[in-house]
Amino acid sequence: MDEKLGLRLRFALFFVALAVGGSGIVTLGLWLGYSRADDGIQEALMIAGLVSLFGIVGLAVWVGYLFDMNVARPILALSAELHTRAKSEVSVDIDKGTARYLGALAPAAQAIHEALEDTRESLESALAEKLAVMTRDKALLEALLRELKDAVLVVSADGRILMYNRAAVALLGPLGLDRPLSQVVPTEPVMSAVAHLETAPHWDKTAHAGFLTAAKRDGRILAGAVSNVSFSEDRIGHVLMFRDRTDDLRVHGELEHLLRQMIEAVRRPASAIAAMLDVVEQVPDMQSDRRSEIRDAMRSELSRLSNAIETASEGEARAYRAMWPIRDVSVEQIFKAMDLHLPEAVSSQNEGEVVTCDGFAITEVLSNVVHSMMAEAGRSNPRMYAEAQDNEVLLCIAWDGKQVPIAELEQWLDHPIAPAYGRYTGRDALVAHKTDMWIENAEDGPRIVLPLKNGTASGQDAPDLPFEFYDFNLTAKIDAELEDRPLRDVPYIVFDTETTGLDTNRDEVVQISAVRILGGRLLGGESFDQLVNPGRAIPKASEEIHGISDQMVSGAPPFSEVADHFKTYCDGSVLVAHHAAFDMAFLGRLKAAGGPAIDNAALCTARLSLQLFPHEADHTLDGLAKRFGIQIPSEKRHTALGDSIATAEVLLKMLPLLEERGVTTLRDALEFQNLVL
Amino acid sequence: MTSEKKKILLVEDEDNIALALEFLISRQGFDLHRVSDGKQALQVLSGDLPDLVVLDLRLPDRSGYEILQHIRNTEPLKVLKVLLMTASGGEIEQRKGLALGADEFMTKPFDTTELTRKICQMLGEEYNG
Repeated sequence: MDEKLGLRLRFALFFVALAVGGSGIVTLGLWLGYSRADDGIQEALMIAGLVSLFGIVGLAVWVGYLFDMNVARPILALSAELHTRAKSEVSVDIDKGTARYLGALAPAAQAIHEALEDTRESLESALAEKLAVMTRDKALLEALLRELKDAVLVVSADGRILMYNRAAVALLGPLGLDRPLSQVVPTEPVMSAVAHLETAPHWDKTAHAGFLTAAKRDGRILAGAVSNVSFSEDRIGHVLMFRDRTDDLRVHGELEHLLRQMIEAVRRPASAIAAMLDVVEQVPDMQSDRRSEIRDAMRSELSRLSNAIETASEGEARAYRAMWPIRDVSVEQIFKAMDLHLPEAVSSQNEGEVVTCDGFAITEVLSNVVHSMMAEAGRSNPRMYAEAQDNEVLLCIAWDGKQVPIAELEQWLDHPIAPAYGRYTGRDALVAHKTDMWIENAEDGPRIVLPLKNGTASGQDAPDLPFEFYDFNLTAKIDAELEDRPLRDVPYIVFDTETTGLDTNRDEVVQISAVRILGGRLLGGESFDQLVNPGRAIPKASEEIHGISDQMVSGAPPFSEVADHFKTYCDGSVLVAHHAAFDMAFLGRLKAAGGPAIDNAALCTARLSLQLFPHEADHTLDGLAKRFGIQIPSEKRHTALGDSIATAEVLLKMLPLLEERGVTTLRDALEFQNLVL
Repeated sequence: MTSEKKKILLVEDEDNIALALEFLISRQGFDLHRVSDGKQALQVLSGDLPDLVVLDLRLPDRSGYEILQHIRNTEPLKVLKVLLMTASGGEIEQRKGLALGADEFMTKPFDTTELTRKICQMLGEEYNG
């Protein structure tokens, strides 16, 4: 009841009651006076009574009106303003004019508004600060994971890949989120290590177990370590780290073989020499031709010994060289890294030379030498430059002033190069690279020279990693059958083929490309892009459309071989294409001819468009892209990969529209497009 | 042979090699003086100058490179002929030695005949087989 009556009505009723009450009292008083009064003053009392009644009612109405205007309405306005500020962010001050008759209420309301504003601001700034820290930490962790030298995978409890880093791609080959671990390594050794982990005490969060396995791609031997990832006592997955041990094992084997060979190679000539020395000692008056024979034999055995030593030395160097953490590094990178190490800038010059070396060790060696040189008075203006020769690049240090004694250079090289390398000295690094450093006089003065083997590559051997290299939302296993999954949880492979023509019975595929959509995200880095040798000439008319010539596909594998890889790539996913019937017909023909069966469920964006936009005339890929505001670079249009990306973006735009139409699962979508393949 | 014997300083710490070389080089008619470390070598070089220094790279107190650099940077010694010897010689050590001013380079184990022939050649003398 109280809530139902508004403030203004309550005040109005109060004034009505005041008027009625006042009028009643006046009427009662006048009635008592009237009943006892003489006739002469009764009329006067009646007039006084009427005037009083009108006066009281009039006064009540007037004061009530003023009260409504100056108190009731401002109170309501003030409460509305406070309410608004409580619910949403309003920074404008409270209008004091409206509440000027409410005494201390308006300033009090303003004080509440200001306090609220302050609280909000500090909350926002605290949140912004936290968010900035989290964003920075996320960026750092992403960079760390990406650049880590060890191959790292995070897999869910059921063995699906949730994260991988650059080194993992380099070691294990192409990886994909949500793909089973079993595609890249046999899982038995991993599972056995995981079982071993169960024996670790539950409080030991750092427990890990080692295992040996092999990469499925190329059989390289991998040493792995696995540890658990738990959240709120639940095991949500495992972290796996891999190191390539193939070279270690090979080197171990080679050294063993070398040692055995050397023992055999030394034993024989050593025994022969010993025997011949005995002869020389025991037969001092040997005939000259006999003596000459023995001498030649000893020389021949010595020569065998020398050869054995030389062979062992070369074999050892070759074996260890294979183990170096070497790669092709640009000289520019080495010089830049030196700049970071040295307290003073060193001018440097290079013309894009590339050297094969352990870039970290060589940077440390050169930095230590420059640092030691400059620590002594009398030398200035250190300069680094590279000089390319036939098979090598000379990294040179020049300077002005006092000469560097070779003894000092040798001494600097005897120091450990950096704490991270333990007791590994500059000399060790040079020996490992089969090189040395020395001082020589060049045309423009003395210089220290370090020759390194000429490299050829760009130094970027690891593949570029897509941005989407992790998705921890995938931890929960989706148990529903593919067809019953919500459309957003369905993994899609959106693909396109380029062909020799439009006849699906006679023409052949010349290119097949695809991209993945996972968890509603387009994984640009996990694409499939492969030229196919059609085994026949590509008509000029077709070449003009897709730009693929006979020459381009001459070295490409046939469709049956490409389709094998494509089948693995599509495993567990729904295929999507624009005019899917056309592309699926080629896959169907391949299957009929005994090739791999790629018969995953398929969605067609053209069919879906017909259902979603029945009144539109244009259902081409270009038309849909235009309708959804998707940009297709002209150079990408009519390339299989470009069209796959455009189709994938179209599909992503269609998903919410389908949901609005009640098409929420894959089964619904398949029925909706009414596509029977 | 000229009437005055040419002088050779042999800097070698391995006694057995030194023994053989002393015998073989002396047989060619040279005046050979052997020292077994870098300090003694520098002492000898501060006195009567030899015509040739046969210098082992690995010495107990300092490297042969250091002695070589001293020879090439010190005025009266600059012209001395130097033959370097090393047991761990690869191409890179040879380049380093030649860059520092060595005239010839031999890698152990070496053919002593070749060594003595090279010494004779460096001193402009005929090899007596």
